[in-house]
Amino acid sequence: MALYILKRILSIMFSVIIVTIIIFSLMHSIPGGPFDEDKMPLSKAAKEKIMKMYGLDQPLYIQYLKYIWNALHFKFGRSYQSPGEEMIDLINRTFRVSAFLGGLGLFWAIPIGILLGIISAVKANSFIDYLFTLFSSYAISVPIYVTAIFMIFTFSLGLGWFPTGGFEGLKTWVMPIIAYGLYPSGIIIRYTRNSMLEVMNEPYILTAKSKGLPLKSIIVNHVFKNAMIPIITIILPIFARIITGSIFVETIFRIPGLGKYFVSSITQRDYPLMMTLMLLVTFLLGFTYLSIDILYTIIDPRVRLWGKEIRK
Amino acid sequence: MLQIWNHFKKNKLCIISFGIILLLILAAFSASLITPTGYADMEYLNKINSFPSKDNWFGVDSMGRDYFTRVVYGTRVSLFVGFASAIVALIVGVPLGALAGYFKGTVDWVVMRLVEIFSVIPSLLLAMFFVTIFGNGLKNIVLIIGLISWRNICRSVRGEIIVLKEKEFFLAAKAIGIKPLRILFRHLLPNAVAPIIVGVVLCSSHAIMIEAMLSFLGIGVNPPIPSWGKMISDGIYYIQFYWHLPLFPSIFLTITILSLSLIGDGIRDALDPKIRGKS
Repeated sequence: MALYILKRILSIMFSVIIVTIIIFSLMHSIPGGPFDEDKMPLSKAAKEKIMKMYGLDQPLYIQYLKYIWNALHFKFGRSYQSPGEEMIDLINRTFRVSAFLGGLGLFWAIPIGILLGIISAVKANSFIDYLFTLFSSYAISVPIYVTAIFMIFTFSLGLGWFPTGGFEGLKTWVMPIIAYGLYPSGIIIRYTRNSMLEVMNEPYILTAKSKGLPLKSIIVNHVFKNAMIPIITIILPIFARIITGSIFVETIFRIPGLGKYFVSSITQRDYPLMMTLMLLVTFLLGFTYLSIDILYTIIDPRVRLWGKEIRK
Repeated sequence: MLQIWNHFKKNKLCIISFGIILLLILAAFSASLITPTGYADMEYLNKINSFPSKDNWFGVDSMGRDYFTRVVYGTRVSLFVGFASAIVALIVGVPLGALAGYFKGTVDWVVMRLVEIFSVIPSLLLAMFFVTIFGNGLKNIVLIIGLISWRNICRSVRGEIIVLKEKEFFLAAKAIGIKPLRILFRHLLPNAVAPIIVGVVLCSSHAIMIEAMLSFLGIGVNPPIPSWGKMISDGIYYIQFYWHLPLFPSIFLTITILSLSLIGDGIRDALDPKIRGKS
């Protein structure tokens, strides 16, 4: 088991390195630099001095290696957009807000998604199934900012329950939390439904039925347990979506989170911030991968046995 | 085949969506016939931001243009981006997936690593990078969205080819000595048409979403070409006063994306005997 986890960690490190190289080269192929004249009017000498200060006059591969070396020592430099604070502080301050709202979004989305998915599967092809399928398709495919606008129309302008935006206490949190959880809930409904339906067609469910077990106990003990396994794997794309979702949710509801920096770091050519954000994203994704794999071996004994056989 | 069609027919959501998409396509083609002005004509400068009325069904925008016209032409842009990007994704994804599934080994390894890289970085961020590198505009947007969304089509074609290679007709074709590439493109791929269609439909829905997001962030299609995403992001500043500006493009965007993804999901469910249920 320890060896397996070590191997997984190594492979995650490998993909993080690949991704950083790709992002670094993409980033530097964007035409224009952070201190061009259209962004700040500087004399040639001053620009050269600033470029030197940030190490931007060196060849790219040295810049890259330097960045990685510093990042390994938890030194991420300073963002060009807010040079007054260390990168760690900037990320800490903003990521906390996004993680708080995004986390609460997942907190309602996971149980509700699983519940609606189960109901949908048990009542397959009924009106209620259509209704939930429609909801999940909506949540998955329609951009989150459109839903945010619909929510502002109904709850802020129409009913006057919540303010249209801001980050000042419970009332301002409700709509962003709903918005954050919408995509995850949709995708969990879909996968729970499909996974449940697949298990329901297995022969051992027929056996359980012919033994005369009550339907409720079949659904809870036999179908649900087996259907849960593939659902774990879909947590992964959800994490990516929470991050890209934050770009829109936080713009519309005027939340001081991480979201806006994804866009501004690209438009402002803020190289250190961009790299740090991408490191954060790939690390989050990598560790989700890892925890999924470990969870899998705990939940599904078949995977565990398979792993042992390979090791022999 | 008949069974699949029967199942598809029973899925009412899917049929309704299909009707809606046909209507939208019709509207997109006949945009110049059903709208009172051109999409960039500032004909109503005397009633800027006015609410929906008999003359201007969806009102007038902040530059004095008829908003109904803008929304209808927006349909043309969105559907074009959706289908054209899906075709780009198809041109990249199908050959790569087919080769990976057929030859396995090194080819497969390379293609799958490529797919992996594209799935680790969230596709919206990747699109943002490419747009800032290559510039925006309709042509670039279509190419970029196509190039970041081929991976799902590629994956499903690869899986399908691997399954088809187990079938007897493949062995028969091989036994008579037909060349591998010919077997692949004449015998295996035509049998994988159904999942490819699903992939294309879902891909176009996804492409419309990405375009709307890019335009919302201001790096999508260039003005004055109407794009729903841009119209929504412009309109959101006025949401408390001129509700019609963000509302109408939002509704159209929702209906279009939702219909396309319901059609795609419907076909996929109809094809999958495991999920078809006991009907």
